[in-house]
Parts: sequence; structure tokens; C-alpha cells
Amino acid sequence: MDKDKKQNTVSAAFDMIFSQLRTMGLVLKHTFTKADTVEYPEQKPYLAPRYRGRIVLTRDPDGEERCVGCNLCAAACPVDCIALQQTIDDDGRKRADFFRINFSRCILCGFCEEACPTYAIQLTPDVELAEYDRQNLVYEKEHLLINGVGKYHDYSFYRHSGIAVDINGERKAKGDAQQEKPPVDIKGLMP
Amino acid sequence: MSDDVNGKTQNIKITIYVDDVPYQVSPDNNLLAGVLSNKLKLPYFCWHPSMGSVGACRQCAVTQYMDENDTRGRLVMSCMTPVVDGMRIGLTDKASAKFREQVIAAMMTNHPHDCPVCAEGGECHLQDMTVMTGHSARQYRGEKRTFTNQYLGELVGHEMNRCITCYRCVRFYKDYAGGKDFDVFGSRNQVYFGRQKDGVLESAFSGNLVEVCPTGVFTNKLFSAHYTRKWDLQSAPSVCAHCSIGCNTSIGERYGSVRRVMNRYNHELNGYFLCDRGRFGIGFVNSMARIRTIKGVNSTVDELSVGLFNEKKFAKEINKHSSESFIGIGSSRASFEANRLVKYLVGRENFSLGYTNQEMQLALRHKQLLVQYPQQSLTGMEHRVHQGSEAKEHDLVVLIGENIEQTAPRLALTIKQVLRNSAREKADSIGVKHWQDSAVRTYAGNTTTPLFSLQAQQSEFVQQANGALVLSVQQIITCVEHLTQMLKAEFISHIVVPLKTQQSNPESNATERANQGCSSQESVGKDLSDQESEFLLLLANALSQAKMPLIVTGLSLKSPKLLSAIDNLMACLSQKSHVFSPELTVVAPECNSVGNLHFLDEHNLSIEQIIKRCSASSAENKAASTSLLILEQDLAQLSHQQLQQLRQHCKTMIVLDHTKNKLTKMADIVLPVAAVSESNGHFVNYQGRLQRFSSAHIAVKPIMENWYWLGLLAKHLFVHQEVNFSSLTQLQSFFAEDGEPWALQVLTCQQYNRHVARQTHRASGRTAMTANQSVHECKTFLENGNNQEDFRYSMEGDNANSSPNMPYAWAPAWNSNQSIFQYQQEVNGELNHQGNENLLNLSLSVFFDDTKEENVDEKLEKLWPCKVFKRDGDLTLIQNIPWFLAEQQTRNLPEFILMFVGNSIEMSTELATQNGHCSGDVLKLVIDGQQLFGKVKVNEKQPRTVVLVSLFDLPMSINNVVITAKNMSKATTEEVTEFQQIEHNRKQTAQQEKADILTRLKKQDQIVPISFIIDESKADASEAEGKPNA
Repeated sequence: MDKDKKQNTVSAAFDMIFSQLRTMGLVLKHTFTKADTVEYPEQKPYLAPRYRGRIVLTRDPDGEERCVGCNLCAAACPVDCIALQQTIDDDGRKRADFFRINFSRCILCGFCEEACPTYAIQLTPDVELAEYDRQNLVYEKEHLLINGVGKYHDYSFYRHSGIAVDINGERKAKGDAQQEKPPVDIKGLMP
Repeated sequence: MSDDVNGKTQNIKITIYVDDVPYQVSPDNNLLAGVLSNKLKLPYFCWHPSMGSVGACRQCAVTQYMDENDTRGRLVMSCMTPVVDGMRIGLTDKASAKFREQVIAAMMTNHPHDCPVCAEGGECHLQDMTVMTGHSARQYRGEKRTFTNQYLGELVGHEMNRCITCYRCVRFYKDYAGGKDFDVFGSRNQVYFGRQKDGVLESAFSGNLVEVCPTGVFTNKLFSAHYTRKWDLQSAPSVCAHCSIGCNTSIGERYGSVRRVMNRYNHELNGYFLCDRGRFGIGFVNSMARIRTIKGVNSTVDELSVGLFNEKKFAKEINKHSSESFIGIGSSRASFEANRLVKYLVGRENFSLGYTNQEMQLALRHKQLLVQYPQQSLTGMEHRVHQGSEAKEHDLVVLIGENIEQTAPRLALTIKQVLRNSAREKADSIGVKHWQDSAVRTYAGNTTTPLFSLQAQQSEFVQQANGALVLSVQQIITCVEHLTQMLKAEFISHIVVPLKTQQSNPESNATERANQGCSSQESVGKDLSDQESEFLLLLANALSQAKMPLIVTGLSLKSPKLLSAIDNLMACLSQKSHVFSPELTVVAPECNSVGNLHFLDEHNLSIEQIIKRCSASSAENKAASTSLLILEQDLAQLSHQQLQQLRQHCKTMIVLDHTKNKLTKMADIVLPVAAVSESNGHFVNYQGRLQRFSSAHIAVKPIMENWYWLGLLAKHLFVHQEVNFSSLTQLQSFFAEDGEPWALQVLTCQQYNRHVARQTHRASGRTAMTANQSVHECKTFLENGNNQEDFRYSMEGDNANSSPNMPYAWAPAWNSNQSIFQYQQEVNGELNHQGNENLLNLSLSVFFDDTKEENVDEKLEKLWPCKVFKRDGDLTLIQNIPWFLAEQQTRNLPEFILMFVGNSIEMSTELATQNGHCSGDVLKLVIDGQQLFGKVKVNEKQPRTVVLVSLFDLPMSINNVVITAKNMSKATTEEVTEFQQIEHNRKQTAQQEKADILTRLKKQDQIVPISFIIDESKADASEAEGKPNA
């Protein structure tokens, strides 16, 4: 019994000393390794395309706004920093009449992107959102809308939905969307 | 279940086993209703609590087991299955769950990929059911079926691709509401619901399609134009202000503007359905004609004063008038409290209801009827009434002198259901239950409860009636008087009129009886035509046979004599016997007309008396002349001359109103008051039911609630009156301290109201909606004081369902309005939080108490002399304006104007030929110096003495006016062109205004009013700097 106790004390003391030495060794080693931090403003880190930074509104391949003002992003937003109003335009498309993101509240969680059924709202790798005046962090639609498709190159909501709208100035009537049959002739007699 | 308050005994319940757990259900309803009444989740589509079952959608399948040893069971459609005691069903078993999922899968094959742009999204029953069945991934990869849409008018949008063929729309529109222009077409996978061709839906209930449709085929066009999701709406429980029925509504607001009205379930009144006037009429609160600034007080009225109100300045200005003596004119479209306050401020000798002498007499007659005959609620009329142990239904409906389709459309919908009583009874006799909708209709066919109609104009009911007459008002009165005579004679001589011949062949019956020369026939006077006496005989027969007749009348014909004739008729009927219980329903003209009857006493001034008094005082002494305080009143019934007199003889005219009208133009001081969506108070419906309405949002200053304005006036103008309050509850307590019973009632009702959140727990955009104005978030209204509110302008607070007045209906997994069953005691029953039956106690004042019937006429004539208008003329002018224009507040809604086909003057063939008018001619009609134009319509069925007019510029309050043929003359060519121009312009302006309103609303979204939460002191300071806050 006594012998065991003695041995335990010795091994504990050894562990303590070894730990100290190992720590010192590691610190010493890092003096000679390359730093993980970079001189930020001068030197920019690589951020992957899927990095969650500043939010943009994208356009579909035809150059039309993808956002249909469905309010799902606003509902998904945990900090309630998205406000918008839907409107119907003469071409049959629904768009956001205004679309506002309060970046001073945004936590860049990306829930809005996940919720978006039309791939309109996307997060970009731009994380530089700093302003001297907080008011400048309130982005309106004109600040958010970009001239591009973002991460999703092919998707166009209105080519799939059954709504009659103009695409490239031409009317896409009922039955013209992808995977749609021509409209039913309700007065036809054929079974 | 326990006995309910009214002593009605609840039906005995039986036990069923759902997944081996016992539940109590009512044997009177089907299995689905039983399961849902126990708040279990069972998906369904085609069944509707109020329309019954047809078993069309196959969604509500459950497994039924023989007994506890049966492990296999069989699938049954729960909506088509009656419940039996000890029944065992499975809800969560694999077979039925899989079946229900596959039904959804089949519906989803053709359902389009457009939820993001669908106005139903977020409150879609199909979405809910899809989630509930667990059908999370679409299996079908093929092509989808499509349909072209139809234009269904300005109110309802159509997107047929989304249809899942549940048949609810056509069952509501055609079967329930009696619409004729909507149907189902096609077969198999190509079933189409719509009109035969594009066009405006004719029914006054088309808006219910939006709620009845489980998905987004039918959408509210006005809402879609300025759309927001249900979860973002800030809703408040309100009461419809567009007729006297007082349907419960839920008003939804977003970004400071009202978006829509949805039905708010009230078991006693509207149930699941509203009329379109109530649903779409709310648009008036956003109209361009709203008054948004103070006129005549602040000398510097400019755009900057929007959002601000400077009380000190106002007090200084208004105080100048404090030496004047005021006459207060109340209003039947303002809240009960506001009217009470006006009466209090000016004193009862100086109070008027804004009625003319004739209307005062009418109001008193109305009050007399209400005191004697308690008014049944809509549900009471529709469903079986339990009296003791026996269940009774109305077995006869008599409509006298009120076109309810025009004045109270929701009541007309109820009457349509009452007419089905005998069909249900007939089906019941062979054991077909009332909820077997399709079976009842197949078996009972066209069987309807007998209906008699004695009207001044044609209506849909006239065509359905067993007997119908279209007569002039005078003739109607004569008929009612004769009817009373006949019934009295029968009552005394106990002559039983045989019924057997009556139903089979009414005509021969009548002639037969005429030949026999029975006593009742003799009593029919000589001044009746054959047709009339025949009708009366039929009606008298029916009345003497009926056990529970329902008599519906109203005030729209403006005839006190008619009401007194009805009073006599009711008195005669009531005497008959104890098994015979006649019921009377009186349709009041406006949403708070009955509330105003509470203030009706012998001191009330009529308009004529006001004019007299004003002119007398102005003649006497110029300095001390009388001023007028007019509350939400347009006095549309007055002639131009009377208005001028009123204006000339009163010193100061203070008008409180929400929309511009003739009076606000004339007034010296106009104070903008909040419309129904922005204010709180009570309306009293046709029954005398005090109903609370709450504001959906706060009005932008200087628009303020009427009681608040009156409070300011009390402080600074009526300085001698000691009343000080800063909230509505304080005002009510003030009157409660005076011992006024209504105030006590109201306060007890509000006691258990807690702080309920107006917004849903999912409301979005809180930190962004006002960020464009200031990134610093403002305090909510509640934090800034006003803790007296029952409802909060916030998403924080108690659940919507913790209040008897639910701001909106929502339950976990049930996002649509169908969720209401979660809060009902049982499906289609009363709400869990049963609100107090808050009936206003109307009593005739002491003055009339011990007056004998004979004297009332004389006394009335003495008080409010209403000379029988011996305007020479034998024609009466009757309003035939469509339902959407029959109410003053909604009349200028652009969508309604666009639905109006144009001015018309309808007359009999006889009258037309006499005066040489042909169909299509343009006539000039002169009433009280006002020139009106309309196209002639010739109708051979119409009596000679009645001219039906549908003129846009003629307010509904002018009705039953005597004219001569001379008043109508052919318009000259220039006038015809002018008329056509006016008609054209009206539509043009309406189109323009529709666009303008939308532009204005969109602009306003950017400036969500945040100034209301800023302290008054701060507002003053910023005004001093000349910087607006809003």
C-alpha cells in the first residue's frame, strides 16, 4: 500500500514537470513557425465563395430580379433585420417594392439564404461591414441588388412556376413553363 | 357537458375510442367533427364546419375497427361516417396515415411551383395538411396540368392551377350563398371552377371564397395589390362598421396601413362568413378623401404638421369658442362611448342624434319594437332553438319592407340557410343527418321553408318566395294592417284555415276560399287588389299554421307607420297561443343605430328643431348665437336648403370626421378622427349587443380617436364639465361611477382581457422597418405609458387565443383561419372563452312608459312634428342601389365604383308609356333642387307607383320620397352627353384613385409612423426646430 502511494506521488511530480517543459518547448517552437494572423488591411485572407458575409440580391439568368418579395427571409431572420414590401408589376412579376437590411443588426447567420425559394438572397465573402455612422449600415434594395446570378447560375423561378409573366419582354403564358402541359380546354368534349 | 348559461342543454355525448383512447363526441355530428372537436389532428379539405360533408377529397380517411380484437380494420372517410357509441378508430395507424399522405401526393402532382408568389402562402390549408401528413418530397416528375384564369372582378383574383378540386368554392357560392354565376365545369383531371365566361362575380359573398378555398385559387385582390404575409400582420379584433349586424372582423395592418379584413369567428353572429361590403369595404380607411389635417384651428396647416399635434396651441385656439353655447350632434356610425360623451358635454337638452323629425319618430318606433321583442342572433335564426326539451326551427319567413340583400347582406345569407330548414327536416325524417350535405340536397331537392315577401323592390328572395308582392310603401302598410285584421278575426273566431290545399295549389285555394266568403276574406278591405288579397290570405294561412315564424323588417323605407303596423301585427301574433312564438328582426340603418336609441329621449333635438333654435338665437342676439359640434355625421338626408340654413344660423361649426364630405367642407373647424381600424370603442348591433372594437394600429397625428378629441374639447372648450380622462377605460369608469349600467357591463367584460399581442410570434422586420428613418430603434408604444390597453402593439404579450376577442386565429400546425376549431368548445360551437352576452338594456324613457298605444302617435307628432308630406305626387322613389354602394362610408371605394353599372331609374311599363319613356332613355330627376340623371329601365312586374332608383349621387338615407311624374323629364341632348361624361369620368376617376391610393400606400411604407411613440414634449421641441419627425 505504502509503496503504491509513494509511486503515485513520484509520477505526479514527473507529469507536472514534463508538462511545464512541454509547454515551454511548444512556445519556443512557435517562435520559429509562420504566423497564422496576417496584417489585415494590407493583406487580405482568402475567404471561400460560400463564406457568409455581406448579403446581396441577385438576378436570374435573364437579368431580371430574382426576389419575388415572398417574405420568407424576413420570417427566417432571427434578429428581424430584413423588412420588405411585395408589389405586383405590370409584367405580372412580383418584386420587392423596397427591401431593407439593417446590417447593424445582422448576424450573418445565412438563414435568409437558406429560406429563399428563388436563390435571390445570397451571402458573399465580403465581410468588411464597418462604418463610422451606424445609419450607413442600413442597406436598401439599390445597395443590395447586384447585376449577376451569384452562386446559382441557371435558376430562374418564373420558368418553373405556373404564373403568367413576361420573360425577356415576351409573355410566358399558362402552360409555357418547364414541365407544364398546355392549358386545359375546359369547353372541349374529349374525355 | 354542463348546462350552458341560457339553460339550453347540451347534447348528450357518446364515447368513441381513437387509438384506444376514449373521447367524448356529439352523436349529432360526423366522425371528423368529433375528432376535431377533441383537438386531434386529422387532415381534411372538402368538409366545412358550416357546410357539412360531401366526401370529395378523400383526405380525412381513418381506420375503423370492429372491436378491440380487430387489428386490421378498414378505411373509412371520417367526414362521411356517423359516430356510434363505443366506436373504435385508428388515427395514427400506418395504413390510414399512408393513405392520407398519398392523397396529398396525388394532389401535389399538379399543384404548381408558386408558393413564393401565392397570396395564400403562410396561411394555406394545403400547406398545413401537406406538412401534417408528412409528405415532404414530391415524387412526381412529369408534366403538370395547367388552366387559364378568369377575370372575376375587382375583388377576387383567380389562379386555377392551384386547385385541388375539393369543391368547397362551388358548394359555398352556389349551394350555401345561392349564387348563380359560378359553377364547376369539365370532368376527371380537368375540373374547372369558375364562371361560364370572364366577368364580375355577382354574389355579395364572393369574398368568402378566399377563406373557404383551402389553397390559393381565390385571393383577395385588394390585399394582393399591397400584400403582406399573415404572420407579419398586426391584427386587432374589430367589428364591421358597414351595417347593423355587427359581424366580428379581424383587421390586419402592416407598416402603418390597413391591409385587409378577415372573418373573426363569432358563434352568435357571423360564424365563418362575412359579406363583401364588410370584407372589402375597409379600403375606405386608406382613401384619398381621408381627412389628415386639422382645419381651422392651427393657422399654419401644412404638410409638416402631419405626425405632430401641438396641444397647447390647439387649446389656445379652441378656447376662443368657449363662450358659445353648443348643440351636439351624435352619429350612428360613431362609437357608443363617443356619442355618450357628446351628450354629456353638451347636456341632454342640447343633444341630437342627427335625425330629422321623421327619423326621430322612426327611431322611437324602432326602440319600441326592440324593447318588446328581443332580437334573435343570426345563429339563433339559423339553427335549432332549444326551448325546454323541444327543438324548434323557424318554419316560416316573412320579409316586410326591407331589402336585406341591400342593407344587411350577412343577414340575407342567414335567411337563405333558414329557408333550408324544411329540407333538413325532410331529410331527417328518413334518417339523413343534416351534415350529409349532398344527400340532403339530393333528397330534399328544392324544398324550402315557406317564404313570403312584401317589398318595395325586387330582390332575389322575391323569386324564391311562396308569395311575393312588390308594392309601394303605403300599400305595404295597408297590407300589414289588413293582415293584422285578418289574423285577429281568425284568432277570435277560431277558424282554422286548412293547410292541405294550400301547399298543393295556392291559387285554387285562394279562389275557393274567396267563393266561400269566409270571415277572413270579408275583413279584407276594398282598397286591396285581387292579387293583394290573395297574397294576404295565403300569408294569413301560413302564419296561423306556423309554429315559429320569423318576421324580418327594417328602417330603410323610413316609414314610422310601417313599424307601428308591424308592432300591431306582432302584438296580434304574440297573443295567439303559447306554442306559437313569433320572432321579429329589425334591421337598423347603421352600425351603431341601436346604440343611439339608448340616448333617445324626449329631449332629443331633431334637425328641424336645431335649425329653428339656431335661427331664433341668431335673430335674437348675434353674439350669443348657437354653435354646433358634429360627430362623424354627414347629414346626407338633408336637402341643400336645410344644410345652408344650418350653416347660416350657427356661429361655429365643429365637425369631427374621418372622410371629407359636404359638412366638412362647410365647417369652420374640422378635427380628423380615426376610422374604425384605428380606434377603440363599442358598437351596438341590431340586437342591442355591445361589441368592442379595437384599433389595429395607431393613427398618425393629428388624426386621433373621437373620444380623445372630445376629451380635449372637454378640457379646453367645455371647461365647466368636470371630466378628465386619458384612456377609454377611464372614460368608461367615469360613466360607471355615475352608475350607468352599460359602462359597468363593458368594464366587467374587459376585466379578464389581458395584454394580448396584436402581432404574431413570427412577426418580422422589427429592427429594419423603421431603420431608414433612424437606425436607433424606438421604444414600443406600450413602454411609453398607456398600460390600459387590452392589446399590445407588439409581438410580446399573451397569445391571441387567451382573449375572448382573438385578434387573429392561429394554432400550432394550423396556420389558416380553419384553426378556429382549436378554440371552439366543439366544431362550429361557441368559443372556449365565451364572451359575456353583453346586451344593452334599452328601456323606453319614463315619458313613454305608461302611455297607451293610441297616444303615442299624437305624442310623437307633438314632439317631433312630421307633417305628412303632402307633396303632390303619386309616385314613391325607392332606393335600389346595389349592396356595395348602400353604405355611406364604403360608397367611394374605387373598386366598388368600378363594379357599379351606372345610374338607372326603373319604372313600370304603365308609367313609362304614360310619360313616353323608353328603356335606355336618359332621364333627369329633380329632388330637392338636386338634378340627377339615370338611364330608364322598364320593368313590367313593377307597380306603377314605385320608381326604383340606383343613382350614385343620391345617398341611401334619402328613401321613400314622394315625387311626381313631372320631376322626371327627358334629358336634353347636352344633358345626355353630360351624363355620359359623368358616368365615364366616375370610372376614370375610380381607376385613377385606385392607382393613387396604391402609390400613396407604398410611399407610406417608407415612413412607418414612429412619431406616435415619441414624447409630446420632444415633438414640441422638434417642431420648434421646424423638423418633422415622421
